[in-house]
Amino acid sequence: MTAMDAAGIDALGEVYRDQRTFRLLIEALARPGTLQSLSDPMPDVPPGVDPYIASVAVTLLDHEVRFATSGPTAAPLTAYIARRTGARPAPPEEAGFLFACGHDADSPLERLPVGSLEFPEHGATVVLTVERLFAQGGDGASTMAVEGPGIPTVARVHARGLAPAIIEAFIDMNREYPEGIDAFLVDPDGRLVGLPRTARIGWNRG
Amino acid sequence: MRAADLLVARRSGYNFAFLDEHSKREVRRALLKAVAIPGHQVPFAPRELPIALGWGTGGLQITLSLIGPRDVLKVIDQGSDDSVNAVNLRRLITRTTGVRTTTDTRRATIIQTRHRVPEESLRADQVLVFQVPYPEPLRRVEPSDVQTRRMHAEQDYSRLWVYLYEDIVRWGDVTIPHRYPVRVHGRYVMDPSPIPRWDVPKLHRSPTLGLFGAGREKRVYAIPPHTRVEPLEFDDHPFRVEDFGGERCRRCGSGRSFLSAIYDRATGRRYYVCSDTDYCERRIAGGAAQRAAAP
Repeated sequence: MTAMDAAGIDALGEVYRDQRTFRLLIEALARPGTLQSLSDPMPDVPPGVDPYIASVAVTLLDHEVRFATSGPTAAPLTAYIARRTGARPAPPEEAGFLFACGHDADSPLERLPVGSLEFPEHGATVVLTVERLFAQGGDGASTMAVEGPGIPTVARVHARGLAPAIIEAFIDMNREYPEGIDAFLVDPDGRLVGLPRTARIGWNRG
Repeated sequence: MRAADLLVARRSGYNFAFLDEHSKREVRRALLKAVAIPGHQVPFAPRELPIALGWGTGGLQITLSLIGPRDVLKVIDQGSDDSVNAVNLRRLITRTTGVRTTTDTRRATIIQTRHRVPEESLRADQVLVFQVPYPEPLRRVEPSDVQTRRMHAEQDYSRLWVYLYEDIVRWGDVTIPHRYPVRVHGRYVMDPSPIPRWDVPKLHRSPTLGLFGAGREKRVYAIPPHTRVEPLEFDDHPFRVEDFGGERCRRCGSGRSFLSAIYDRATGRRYYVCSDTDYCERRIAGGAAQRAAAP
C-alpha cells in the first residue's frame, strides 16, 4: 500500500461514516420502534453539542436545507450545524429540520411545516434528544405503543426525558396524513428510534 | 471486504460509489421521506451517470446512496444476473466501491432489480431496489403531471377503476400483464415497476424494505417492511397471478416459479424455463446433490 493509497482511504472515512449513519437512520424510520445504535459520534463538536446529534445533522444537512433549533443548547448547535454543513438557520415555520430537546415542553413542533396534500414530503423532520432510550421499560420512562407500516404487530418505545406535551404535539401534527412530520429520537449514548408520520401512537406517562 | 478491493475502487478516480456526497445526501433525504409516506412519489434531481437514462439510473442512484463497503450486492435484470443491463450496472457499482457481489439471493444485502422480485423469500436484513421506467400509475388514464398529483392528493382514483372495469367489459378480465397498480398502506395507488403479476403478492407485508427509483422521471418511492400492498381488484373479479397451465421449467422442473417462454428455433416448439436464474441453478445443484447422495 502506498502512502497515497493510505491517504485516499483516510479521506474516505467521512464518506463511510455518513453512509453508515444514513443506513441506521433509514432502518430506524423503516422499522419504527426498533432500537438502533448510531456508530459514529462526531469527534470535533464544541461544548454543548451532542456528538450523535451532530452526526445526524452532518449526514443529512447541506446548503439546500434550512433548519431550526430549540432548547438549552440551541445556540452552540445552530452555530455548529451552520458552519459544518452550510445549512441555513430559519424559524421553525420554514425549517426542513428541527433539532429539539425531548424534555423541553416548549419545543416548537407545532410550528413546523407539515407539507401539503400535493407535496407531503415538505413536512419537516424533527430530531429530538432524550435522556435515555430503553429496549424494555426503564426507570421513569414513558412507553409508547406504536402501530403502522414497518411494524409487524405493535412496537414499544421506551423513552425517558420525553415530555408528554411533545408526544401530544407529534400526534397532533400527524392527524391529517399524508401531511405531517417525522421524528428521530436520539439519546446521549447514540441509541436511535425513528417515528414516521404513519406511526399510530398510544402512550402512558412513565 | 479487503483493503486491496477498496484501493481498486479508489484508483478509479471517482468518489466511493461514484456520486459526490452532496448528490447522495439529496437522494438520502428523498428516501427518508419516501419511507415515511409509503407509496408516495418523492421528486429528486437525478445526476449525470455513465449509464443512459432508461437503463436503471433511478435504481442505481438509490443503490449508490445506500451502499457501504460491507454490503454484498446482487443485480438482476428480468431475474437474470447475466444479462447486459445487470452486468453493466454491477460493473459500475463494483468498480467504484469494491464491494463483494453475489448471484445467490440469500447472501445479498442489497438486491437491485429490473422487473422481478426474486423467488427466494427475502429477509429483514436485505434491501430490494427497483428500477422503475414509469412511476406514475395514473399515467394510463391521465397525461398531465399536475392532474395526477392532484388525483393522488385527493385519492381520486375513480378513472383508474373505470379503466379496470372497461378492461373487464371488453376482454372479460383485467389484461394488465405487468406494472399492476397496487394500493399501499390503504392510501396511495402505486406502480410496482414492470414486475409480473406473479410478484405482486410478494410485496404484501414483506419483511424487506423496498425502494423504487425512476431516474428519467425523477422520482423515488418506497414500501416499508410489513406494509399492506393490495392489488386493485373487484369483488367479483379478484386479482390473479399468471397461470402457466401446469407447465414446468425445462431445466429444473419447477412448477412453482415465474416462467419465461422460449421458442426452439429448430422445432418451433415453445418451452418454459425459470425467469429467476439463481433459483433455477440452485434447484438443479440441489437435485444433483440429492442424486449423488442416493445409494
